[in-house]
Amino acid sequence: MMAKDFQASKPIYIQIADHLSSQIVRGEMKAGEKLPSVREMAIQTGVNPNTIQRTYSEMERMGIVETKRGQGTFVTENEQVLQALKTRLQTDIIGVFVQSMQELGFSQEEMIRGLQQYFRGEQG
Amino acid sequence: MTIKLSNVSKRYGKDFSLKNVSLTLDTGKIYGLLGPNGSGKSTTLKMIAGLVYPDLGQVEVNGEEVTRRISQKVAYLTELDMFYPSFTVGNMVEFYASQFIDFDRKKAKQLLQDMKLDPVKKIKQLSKGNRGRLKLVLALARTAPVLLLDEPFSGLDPMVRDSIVKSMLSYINFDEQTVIIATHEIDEIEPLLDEAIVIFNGKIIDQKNVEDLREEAALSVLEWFKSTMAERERNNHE
Amino acid sequence: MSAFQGLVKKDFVISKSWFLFWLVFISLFLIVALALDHYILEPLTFLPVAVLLLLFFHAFFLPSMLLSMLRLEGKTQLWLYNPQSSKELLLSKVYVSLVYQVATQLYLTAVGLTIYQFFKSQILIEASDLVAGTIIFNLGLLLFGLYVSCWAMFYWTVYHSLGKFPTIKGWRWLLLLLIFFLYNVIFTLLTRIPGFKEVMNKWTIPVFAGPNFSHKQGSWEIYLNATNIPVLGLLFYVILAVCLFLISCWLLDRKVEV
Repeated sequence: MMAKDFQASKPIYIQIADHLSSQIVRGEMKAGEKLPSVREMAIQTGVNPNTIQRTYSEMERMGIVETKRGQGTFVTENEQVLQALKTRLQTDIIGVFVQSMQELGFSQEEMIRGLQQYFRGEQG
Repeated sequence: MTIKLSNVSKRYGKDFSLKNVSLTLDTGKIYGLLGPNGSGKSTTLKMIAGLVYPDLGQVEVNGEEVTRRISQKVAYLTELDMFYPSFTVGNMVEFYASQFIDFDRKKAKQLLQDMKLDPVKKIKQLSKGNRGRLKLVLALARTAPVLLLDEPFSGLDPMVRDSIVKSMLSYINFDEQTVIIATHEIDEIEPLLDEAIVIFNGKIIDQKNVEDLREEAALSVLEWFKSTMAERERNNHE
Repeated sequence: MSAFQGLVKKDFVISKSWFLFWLVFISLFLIVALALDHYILEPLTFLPVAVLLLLFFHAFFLPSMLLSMLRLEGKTQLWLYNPQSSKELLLSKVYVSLVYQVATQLYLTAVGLTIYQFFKSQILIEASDLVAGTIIFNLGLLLFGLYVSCWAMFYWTVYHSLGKFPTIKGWRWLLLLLIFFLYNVIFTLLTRIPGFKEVMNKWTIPVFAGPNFSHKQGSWEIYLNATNIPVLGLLFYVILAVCLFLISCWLLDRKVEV
C-alpha cells in the first residue's frame, strides 16, 4: 500500500485500519503479533504519522489491537474479537455485493440462485 | 513552535504578492500550502524564514518578530538553487554544520548515504535531481523547530520523490517540529499532510484538516483544491 | 569549527580563484616590466614604476574583493539565511579580503626590496628611512583600503535595502550618487566653518611619507618627506568608517532582501 492507492472518499486512517484488519483475517498477521511502530508504518505507507496514530487508536478502541506500555502495539489474542472481525469483514463484503446486485435489478432469489450456480460451475 | 502571520501584505511592483494574510500554524503538524505558481506560496515561506519583510502586518515565530536571524529556529529549503558553485557536497555540509548549532552531522551522513550523494563531488557537477536531494539533506539534518519546504519535488523523477517522502517521514520529529510544505503537486504529498491551506493571488482562500475533508465532504485534497479553485474562477468571472 | 571560522573558510573558498587570478596578473605585469627594462637596456625604468603602480592599485583591491564577494552572495539567499550577526557576516569578508591584500602587498614589497638589493649602489636612501617608509606606506594602503571598503559595504547594503521599493528600484544607483554628493557637500561645508581646520590640524604626528624621487647622473635619490598627520582628522575617518560599518550591519539585519 503506497500513497497513491488511497481512495479519495474515505479517511486515510480508516483505509489503513481496513487494510490491517484484512491482513489479520487472512492470517498474514497472527494473533499476538507485534505491529510496526507508528514511524515504521508511516514510512511503509508514506502517510503522516499522526494519521497512523489515529489508525492504531481506532483499532485499539475496537479491541483488535492492544498497546503495551513501552513495548508497542500487538494484535489481540482474544479469539472472540478476531472472530467478530472476520464476521464483520464478511458482512461488509456481502453488503457491497448485494448493493451492486440490487443496483443491477437482481432480486434476492436471483442472487442466491446465481451464487449457487457460480459455485457449482466452479466445482464442475 | 507557533507561527503567526497577522494581516500581512507584500507587494512586488504593482501586484500584491500577499494581500492581508492572517495565518496561525501549530507545533507538531504538517501543513500543505497549496496553490498555483505565483500565488504567494514562496513569499509566505520566505517571510517566515526572515528573508523577506512584510510591507504591512506582522510575522512572528514563537511570539518573536521575525528577522533574518530567525534562521536559527527555521530550517528552509528553497525552490531555487542555494549553493556556492565552487563548493563540494562535503564543503556544503561542513558549512551548514558550522553555522547551525542544531545541525546533526550523523543524520547528515546517513541522509547523504540514503540519497546516494558523494561528499567529494563538486556541486556544479551534480544533476538537478541530486542538487534537489542535497537541499533536502541540508534541511532535514537540522532539528529546527520549524521546517519549511518550498517545492521539494520540483524537477525530480517519481523514484526520487518516493525516496524523499520516506526520508521526510524518517527524519521529521513529529512531536516538536512544525512543517510547512509549499507545492502545486498535491498528489505527492496529500497523505503526508495534517492540514491543507489553499492560497491564490496572494490570499488565503481556505484551510481544512485533511482527514475531516475526506470524512465530511468525501473529498481528497486534490479534488477539494480543484473545486475551490473552480469556485474562485466563477466568482472572478461574475 | 566555530561559526565565524566556518564563515571565513567559506569566504576563502568562494574567492580564492579571484585572488589567484590577481596574483597571476601581478606577476605577469612585473615580468612584462622586467622584459621591457631588458629590452631597452635600461634597468630600473619600468620595473620600479610597475611595483609602485601595482601597490597603488591596492588602495582599491580590498574593496573590489569585498564587492565581488557581496555580488556573489547577492545572487542567492544563502548568505542571509544564517543565524550569525551581520557583523560576523561582514567581518568575515573584510578579514578574508584583508588577508589577500596583506599577502599581495608583502609580495610586491618583497619584489621591491629585491630590486633595491640589486641596485643598492645606484639608490641613495637611508636604511631607517627605507624601513619606516615601507611600513608606513603599506600600513597606509591597508587603512585606506579598509576605509573605502566601509563605504563599499554601506553602498551595497543601501542599494539592496532599496530593492523592495518598486517605484525607485530602477533609480537606486541615482540615490547612491546623491548620497555621495551629499556627503561631499557636507564635508566641504564643514571644512569651511571657521576654525574647523585649525582644530582638526591641532594635534599631529609626524610620519615619513611621500617619497621624492630624483634621477641624478644615472642613479636614483630618494628622500622621504616628513608629513604631519592630524590625529583628529584620522579619528574622524575612523569614526566615519565604524559608523558606515554599523549602518551596513543594521540594514543587513532588517532591510536587505536579495
